[in-house]
Amino acid sequence: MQPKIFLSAFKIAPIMRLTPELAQELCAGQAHQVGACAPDGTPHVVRALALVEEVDGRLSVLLSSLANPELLQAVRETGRVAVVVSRPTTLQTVQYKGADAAVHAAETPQYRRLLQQRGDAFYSDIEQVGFDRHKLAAWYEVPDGALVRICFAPHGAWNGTPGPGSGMPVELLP
Amino acid sequence: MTASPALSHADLLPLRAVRRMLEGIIPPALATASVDGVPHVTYLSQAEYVDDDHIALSFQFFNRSRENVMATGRAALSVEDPYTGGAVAMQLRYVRTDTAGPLFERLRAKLAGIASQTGMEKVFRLRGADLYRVVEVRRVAGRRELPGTLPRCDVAAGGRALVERLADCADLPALYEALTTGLVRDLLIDHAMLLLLDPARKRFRVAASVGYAAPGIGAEWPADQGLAGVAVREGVALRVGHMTTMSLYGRAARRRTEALGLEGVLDDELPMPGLERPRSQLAVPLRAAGQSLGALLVESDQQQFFSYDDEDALAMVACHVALGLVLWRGAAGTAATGAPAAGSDGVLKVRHYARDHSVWFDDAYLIKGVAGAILWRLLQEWHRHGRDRFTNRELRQADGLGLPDLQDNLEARLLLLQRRLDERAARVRIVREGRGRWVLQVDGPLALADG
Repeated sequence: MQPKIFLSAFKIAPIMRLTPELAQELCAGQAHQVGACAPDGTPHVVRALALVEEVDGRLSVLLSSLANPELLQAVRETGRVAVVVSRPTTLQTVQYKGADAAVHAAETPQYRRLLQQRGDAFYSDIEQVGFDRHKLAAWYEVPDGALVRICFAPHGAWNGTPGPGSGMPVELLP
Repeated sequence: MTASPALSHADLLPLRAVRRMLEGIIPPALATASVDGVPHVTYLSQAEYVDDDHIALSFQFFNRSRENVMATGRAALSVEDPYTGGAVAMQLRYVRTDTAGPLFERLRAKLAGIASQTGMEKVFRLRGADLYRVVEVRRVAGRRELPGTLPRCDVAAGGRALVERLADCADLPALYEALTTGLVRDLLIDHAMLLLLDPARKRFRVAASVGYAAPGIGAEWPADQGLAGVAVREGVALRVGHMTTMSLYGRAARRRTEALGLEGVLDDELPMPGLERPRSQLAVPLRAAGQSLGALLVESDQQQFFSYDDEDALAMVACHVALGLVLWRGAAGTAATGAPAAGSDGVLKVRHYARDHSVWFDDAYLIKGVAGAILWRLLQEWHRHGRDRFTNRELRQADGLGLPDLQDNLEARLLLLQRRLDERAARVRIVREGRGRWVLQVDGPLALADG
């Protein structure tokens, strides 16, 4: 009975939500890196393309399934994920983590539209620090059928901005 | 590690093939995991290519990444190519942390450049250089990569041409000329200076330069300052591709000099050559016969102007220059320390340049300005008339010394000259004989030349 009680408790645990400021920041030009760890302890990391807050408060990391298949496999096998979002012009950085992550296809008009919007915002931001968006255009060119999302409930967030305060928890709403 | 069917061996790359990505233009991301498998991701300020099997990562903060690496010894790195849109993922194994030595200094110098660009000088502090073995480099698949930007020239061929120029030289002036000419023509490097080390006085002297409004030949610089100072101290090439101002180093050097109460020396110093706002710098130490002889410092007003290939090419060039210094200056090979470097005939060649009144003993700069003009006048009087005594009064009345009418600081200038001659342990000295009276002492034959 005990595992059942545990699962039940897990399912009804409230999802932590982003504060309005954090949610708004996701829409600004952000760079994303997603990390996972395979069951054998091998860490993986790859650039992701967007972090989206779903209506139920869960977060979806959008990325190409071709970029790092081992990472996606690690997420499938462990459910654990870490994603860092960082704004190039300010280096303001936040890391979100989840322990119930799953990988889903994201080939819908809605996610493609979001990808376009987030890409535009990202390129606008990096242009301010001297990058040429055309040279980095490949980052957001995800082949048809390859767009996936890693969906998870954030159980914590941490400040990753370089300097003092890095590593400190960032408040999430219950 | 179990390979996924989706992965291809064609995507595996040698580390050397991607070292140009490790320039710090786009911060790499490091993934680690705790012993119980909780992933953690962080951005790094830099990753440094060490050799074909190793990279070094900056250790700046005690944080979760550090804790994880110390516990598991494993990490993964995501590195982007800012020129093509491509990327690689690396698998790393922790080897060790250096807190001193060449690798540490290389990272520290680069971090200083990055910190100065972001205004984070007081925040960024390097605790160590973490060395990792690279066990796999895999191309990130599914990206339409652009062709890489063309290098500004064939650096390897340019380096070879420059070395051949150096091989044709038969003396130091020819070597300096070949170096400065070749850097511009063969490697398209527009700004460079050759700094010779005087280990006794812990100073660099500019022996040759190219591309500056003020060539600054003979200008001196504390040898513990700037990129060149670290390069010589650690015996490694240092390259900073971000905005690092030489003027910052210069101001630091000046503050240090002032703190030592040597403002009077500064007044008579030649201005250092150097770009006002360099965006890239590369300093390569000159080493030969087991000694550090100085450094070759090249600059650009463009970011990321110098590559790993430049580092390789200039290391080869610097080796040839250092050998030339040893050959033609003797095994000491340094910037005129100790006994005067008299020619093989035992005659000390003293040369004076009227445009700035700089005086050189053999090939070594001694002094310039008013003090240089005074010394030249005394030597001429000694040479023509055998006079070895002189007074402050006659110097004040002499034409052509450039003394101001008021507050001429003559006494301070003579003291500076006396100290400079004593430091050089030259066969020429001046000694105070009484109030306002001096004696010129010359111990050995001199050959005077003007211009």
